[in-house]
Amino acid sequence: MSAYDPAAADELVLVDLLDRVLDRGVVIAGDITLSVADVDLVYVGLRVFLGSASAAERFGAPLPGRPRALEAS
Amino acid sequence: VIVLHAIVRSPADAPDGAHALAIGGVAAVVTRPSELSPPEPEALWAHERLVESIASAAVLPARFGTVVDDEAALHRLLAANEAVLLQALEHVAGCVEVSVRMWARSAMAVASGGTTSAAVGPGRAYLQERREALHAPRAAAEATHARLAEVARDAVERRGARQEVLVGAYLVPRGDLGAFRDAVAEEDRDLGELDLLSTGPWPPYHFTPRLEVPR
Repeated sequence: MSAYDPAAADELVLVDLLDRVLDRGVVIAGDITLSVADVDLVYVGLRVFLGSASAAERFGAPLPGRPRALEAS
Repeated sequence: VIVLHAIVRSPADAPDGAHALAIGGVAAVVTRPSELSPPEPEALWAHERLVESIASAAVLPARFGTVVDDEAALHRLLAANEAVLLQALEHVAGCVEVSVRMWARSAMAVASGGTTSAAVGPGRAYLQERREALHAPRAAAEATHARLAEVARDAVERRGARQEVLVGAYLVPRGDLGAFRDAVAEEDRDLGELDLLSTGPWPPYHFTPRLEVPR
């Protein structure tokens, strides 16, 4: 059974948000603003910002700097 | 540019602050910001809230940052993908998505299958025990995924990080949410060092098509 921890719950919700809005949803083949590399970068930036140990394990060493801004294609 | 937030069936489904462009049997919920927001938490939540505010039985959320150049391009895109969109809308109609993770409290639990056995034995017995232990969390994850998928209309399993033995997304009819939560609670009961963590309801991000650009 899971013990309820509000801070951990907030983090879990944010991770689940990232797994959805950045990684899934309707996409247009070859015509997306965020490249796959950009999304990974954002992922790493936000997840490491969250202090999630699993992020570093999944994506390797954390990258420095803030998430890159969107650029129009 | 036009930012695509979601695909719905009727333009009447567009929420405040957005508008919808109807093309054939589907409609695109879009905004026209003066500049694109960087993918930071506030902007991600703004997109998510907009999608959540769509009062419609069937919504296909778009990935954050999905843009098209102009209305003509959007028109061509939706017209070319109408059939696949209508099929996807029918699939998700009346449903929401629920996230379920099976999480090992420690790396030790991943290796020991929920029990904290520190057995170190020599030879074949040790290797045998080790092999079985390594497979136990995976077996628990597969059993739970299969059970939850039974209650859901559709299910997708994602790759998880090391301590995540299961990361699943489940498409659940709104009316079955109570039954789904009960199933999660039931599965969570005897997992030992494994926890089930669930969030939702979410829009059905994991049950959306990829749109092909017409040539």
